[in-house]
Amino acid sequence: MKPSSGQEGAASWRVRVRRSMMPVFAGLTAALLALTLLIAQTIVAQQDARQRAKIEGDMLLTLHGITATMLDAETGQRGYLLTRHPSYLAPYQDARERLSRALGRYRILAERIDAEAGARDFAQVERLTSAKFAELDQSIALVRSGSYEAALALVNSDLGKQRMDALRAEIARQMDVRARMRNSGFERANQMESRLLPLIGILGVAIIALVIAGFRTERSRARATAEADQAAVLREANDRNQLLARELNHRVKNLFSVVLSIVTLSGRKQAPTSEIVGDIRARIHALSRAHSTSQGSGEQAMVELGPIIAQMMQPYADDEGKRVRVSGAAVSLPVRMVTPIGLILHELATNAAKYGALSADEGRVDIRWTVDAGQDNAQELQLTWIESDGPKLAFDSGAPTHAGFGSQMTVLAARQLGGTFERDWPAGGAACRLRFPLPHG
Amino acid sequence: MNTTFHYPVKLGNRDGGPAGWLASSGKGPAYGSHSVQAGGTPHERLLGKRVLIVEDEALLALELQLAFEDEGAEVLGPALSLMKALETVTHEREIDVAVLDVDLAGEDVYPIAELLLQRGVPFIFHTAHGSRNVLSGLFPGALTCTKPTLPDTLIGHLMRLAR
Repeated sequence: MKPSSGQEGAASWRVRVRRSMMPVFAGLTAALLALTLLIAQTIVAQQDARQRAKIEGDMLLTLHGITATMLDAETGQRGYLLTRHPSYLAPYQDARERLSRALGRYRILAERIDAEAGARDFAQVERLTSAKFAELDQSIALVRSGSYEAALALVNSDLGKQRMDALRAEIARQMDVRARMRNSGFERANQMESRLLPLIGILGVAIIALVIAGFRTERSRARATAEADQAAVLREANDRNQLLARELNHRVKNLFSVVLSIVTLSGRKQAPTSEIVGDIRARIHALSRAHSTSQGSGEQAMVELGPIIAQMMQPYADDEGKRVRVSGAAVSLPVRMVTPIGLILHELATNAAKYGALSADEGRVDIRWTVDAGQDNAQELQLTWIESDGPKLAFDSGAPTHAGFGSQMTVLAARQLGGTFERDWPAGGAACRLRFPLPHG
Repeated sequence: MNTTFHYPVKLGNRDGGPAGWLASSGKGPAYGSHSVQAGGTPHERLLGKRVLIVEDEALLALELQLAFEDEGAEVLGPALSLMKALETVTHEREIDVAVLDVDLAGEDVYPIAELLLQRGVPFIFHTAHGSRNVLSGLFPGALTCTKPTLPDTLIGHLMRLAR
């Protein structure tokens, strides 16, 4: 069965969809992988930045702590100088301990950020704190050993102040650097985060697109399977139909046989002069001939006119095909018209065989038909039957005296076709014309 | 649409084999009563021939039997089934010609045709099916007549074929 244009369109759409899906899938999958990679990278970088910022922050705190420790130490020293009470040395000792811990912590942190620069920064701080502590130790030792005047002179000499200032300046500088690094670290982390969100958004969109593409493919595949199943069912139905048609044809032929047998057997004991049995058998046989060309067609089917007429005239055939000529346009008729046409042709042929052209060897029958435009936009079939070179008829003009059952049936059959039948007997031989409208479509 | 086609009406176009008897009479098929008459002058086209009829439709088988007997034939059977036909073919030594219906109530007649072929007995296939191709494939050269065929036509063929 040829597919309609709608089916063809659907088929090509399916092919187009299937073809365009592959690169879409591939592209989406690649995009997903790239995005995932990018997101992972971003998160790692962000974590890194935050980590560093945190360390810088810790370093700031440590530096701050170192400053506080140094101040405590100075306070202890001043107190001891003023009061000469050993109780003021406790905070001083304590500060010393705290300093060494703080320095240790600072060293670790600084070297973690940047081994070289960190070591240098630490070395600076250590040097300056040691220098200051040296001065403090010295003044305290002087007080301890009783040289109070010398201790005061040392304090007034601004050496302590200078060293403290130097330490403070260096610490301030380093704190400034650390603060800046910390801020830029956090900034970088924030940048990464702001990049992350749109990436995740795109990833989400890509996943949705992939899911949609998956659904579409699944649906088109389901539709293709359904259509394939449908086609298979149709094919099966077609095959079954053809089988049924053949069976039907077989049965019809068998029925004709049986009917003919009944007629024959029933007529066996008839009087020899009765021709009725012969007539009956002849007509039935003609009908079976007429229908033999419409093998297995359904009620709505069409059959071609030409083969029907040829088949009906076959009993009168000669070797060269000159005796009976059949010609006309290729016309298809509904199956219901086969019986009346068959009966008409049989009557004409039988008459020709009894009295007309077919009763002599030289006789000729010319059967032609055409299709013309008739009334009401319908097409009209016009069939002519012309006998020639037959025996001279006893009656040269006018109809024969007997209008038997055969002629009645012919006229009625023509009426069944919705048309007319006329017969003439010109000198050359019988001439008949059958006209009837062809159904639309 | 109005191109004219010619449909030849020639002998040998349809219904297997040259119908020599038609040409000679020129008057078309003889539906006439002579083949139907009882007690009339018997024709002798099959005189003394032993004709086997294999046909599952009883009425048709009877019609053929009477028609052949009218022509002086001795009818073997008619066998109405494949089984019956096998029996008849096995028991009867002398068969001159046979008419075989192809479809015997659902069974094919081919085993009978094979047997007859082996014994050199000529036969005609008589079938309602249009499946000449199958038959000519299995039994090339065998004559096939489509139902309904007039007994007269069959007699004409049998006359030529019979041993």
